Amino acid sequence: MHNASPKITVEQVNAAVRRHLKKPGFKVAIVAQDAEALRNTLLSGKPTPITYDTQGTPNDILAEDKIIEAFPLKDVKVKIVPVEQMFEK
Amino acid sequence: MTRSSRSSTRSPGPSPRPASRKRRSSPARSIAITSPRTRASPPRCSPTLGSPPMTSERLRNEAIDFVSKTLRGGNDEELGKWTLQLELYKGQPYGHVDRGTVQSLKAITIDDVKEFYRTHYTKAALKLGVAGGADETVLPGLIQGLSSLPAEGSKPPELPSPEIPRGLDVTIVEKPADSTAISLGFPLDVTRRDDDFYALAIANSYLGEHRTFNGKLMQDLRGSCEAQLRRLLLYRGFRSGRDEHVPGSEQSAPPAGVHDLDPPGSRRSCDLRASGGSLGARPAHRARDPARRFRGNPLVPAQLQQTLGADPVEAIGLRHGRCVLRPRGSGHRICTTPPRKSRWSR
Repeated sequence: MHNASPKITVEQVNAAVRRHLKKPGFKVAIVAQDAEALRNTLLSGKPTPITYDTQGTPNDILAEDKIIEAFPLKDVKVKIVPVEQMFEK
Repeated sequence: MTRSSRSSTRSPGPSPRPASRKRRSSPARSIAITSPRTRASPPRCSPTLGSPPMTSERLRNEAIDFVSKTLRGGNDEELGKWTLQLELYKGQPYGHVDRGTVQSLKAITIDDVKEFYRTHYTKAALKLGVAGGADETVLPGLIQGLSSLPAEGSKPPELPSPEIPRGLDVTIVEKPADSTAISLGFPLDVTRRDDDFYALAIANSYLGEHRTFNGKLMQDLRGSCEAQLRRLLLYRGFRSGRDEHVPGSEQSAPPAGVHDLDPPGSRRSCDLRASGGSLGARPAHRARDPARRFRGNPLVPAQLQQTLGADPVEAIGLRHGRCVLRPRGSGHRICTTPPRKSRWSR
């Protein structure tokens, strides 16, 4: 690693990212309460606006939030597991 | 089942034996270093690898408690990470918590442990690494002590290629929780042997490593917090590391709600507090004007932001759950806290 890393170029890193970090999907694990409400939200496809507790968020951040809140979630499958069942068998 | 790493340094004690069983002959004693060796004294050794492993109900109960109580109830981050691993490698050797499951731990017997030990603790599976104060007199003893292990045993299982997820395959673990722990990912067909491993390690560091604040993703997430602070951090007018008066700023006291974490010569720390959507004024112990305590203090005017220049602050880390910022080129540090209702607000 110490011998290889100084010679790696940005192009090599980007090429490796494009080769390996482009998968058709993700596995997602969420630990939360109100799981039913969270599942409904994930499956609804509706925008989920980001809110802040303070004022003064820059406009570029707010503009980016508009994109993020409506980013399409495709092919979503959700299952709920009570925590008592985790790691049981 | 994995052998606890602590067992190699534990002092030997009597192995638990059922009274009905015949005492088996003791195997040749092996040697393992249990304490640092100095030139003045030889290493203390104890029979470990060459002897049958110790098991007890205490160890079993500890493992069950870890899985059923600690993982499920005491550490949502680890719970989320293990849930992800189980989903990524379902039905495969990596698809379980390494401490075991509750039912398997309850069902395991002493014979299971002994059989595992007999088939897995073998010379073929052993890799010996020695570091520290060991010299040429230590190695022969170690090798002699380990010679009692069986030569061959079970081979490691084949690792199948994990399933590539499609879309978003979400598992929600429901439990009472104040916050939400999210883990996500997909398996990579890359090992340390691959040339791309190093490039991906750099990409991983750039995006953000665990518990660090210098990655791009964390900077983006924290960006809104930092941007707000840019409009407020005008205590004595920071610019290029020099304290100078900036028109519109207050040199005698910090702007409302802002306090210098480390003024020159001081190790004192203070907090920035925000109140209910606006920066309420928190009376500083150094404030000379009590009238500055009021809610809804206006943010710093835009022209002051321009005076400071671009990127006047940089996040330098996390301290006690707060983002620590520093005006570029300055030794001063300012600390933020999550916005909360100020006791001084009206």
